[in-house]
Amino acid sequence: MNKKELKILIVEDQEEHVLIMKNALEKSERAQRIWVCRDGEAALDFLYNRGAFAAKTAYPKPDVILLDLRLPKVDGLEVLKQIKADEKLKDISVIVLTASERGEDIIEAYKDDVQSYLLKSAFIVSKTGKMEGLLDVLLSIR
Amino acid sequence: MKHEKILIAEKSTFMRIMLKTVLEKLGFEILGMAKDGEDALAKYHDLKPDIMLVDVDLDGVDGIEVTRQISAGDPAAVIIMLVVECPDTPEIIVEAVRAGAKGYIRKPLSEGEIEKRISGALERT
Repeated sequence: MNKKELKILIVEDQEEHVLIMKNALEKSERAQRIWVCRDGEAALDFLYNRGAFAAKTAYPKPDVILLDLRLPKVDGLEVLKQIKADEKLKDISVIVLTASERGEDIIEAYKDDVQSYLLKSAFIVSKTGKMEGLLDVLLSIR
Repeated sequence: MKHEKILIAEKSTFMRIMLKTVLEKLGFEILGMAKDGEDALAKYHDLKPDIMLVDVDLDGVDGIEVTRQISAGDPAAVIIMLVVECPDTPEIIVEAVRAGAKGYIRKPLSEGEIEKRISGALERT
């Protein structure tokens, strides 16, 4: 593994959105590795190397998490709170990618130190994700 | 070259130059840079960027009003707010999203922090 490569964890339950994000990231010239978790519980298992993610080498601490807020099992805001409450995890940059324009979600995410908050309507404008460079902008200014 | 073209509206000269440098290094075309709200509105209409990064705290017409005016004419405009840490920031972000912003990026606090982060980003390219 290249030590400078960016380790990215996508936490998103909608298959179509996962594919658009992976497609956008894979077109970047940035050295990177990408993992995907489909619900909040799996994301926490990944971060704490529990269960199916017990192998620390295969599932290392990510540099960046792309986090949806509406997730099965454990909600995205709860995942965010647990990350930011943990001394070993709180330096991970979290970028929220969500459909939620609710003020409460925006404020909660900000208070829990998300680096960026992006509405899916800006990024996922079509099945081919025309704004694929937008993720690179967010990843560059973190 | 990436296909998205970017307009940067940022009050701080240092931040404008840093953003331009790092984004160009990553392959983005920076169509222009604006330092105040009036300049931002004029350049948006002249240059028609795909993505606009807007400092909340622009002089003259502020970042939220810039967002509101642009989004009123083009609801699909991709405007991302650049915000700094202050007690009112959460409410300002909510207002920006209501005005049409598609998200925000938290700005690094100091020039040293910016250089560190940009340096890290460039090392990975």
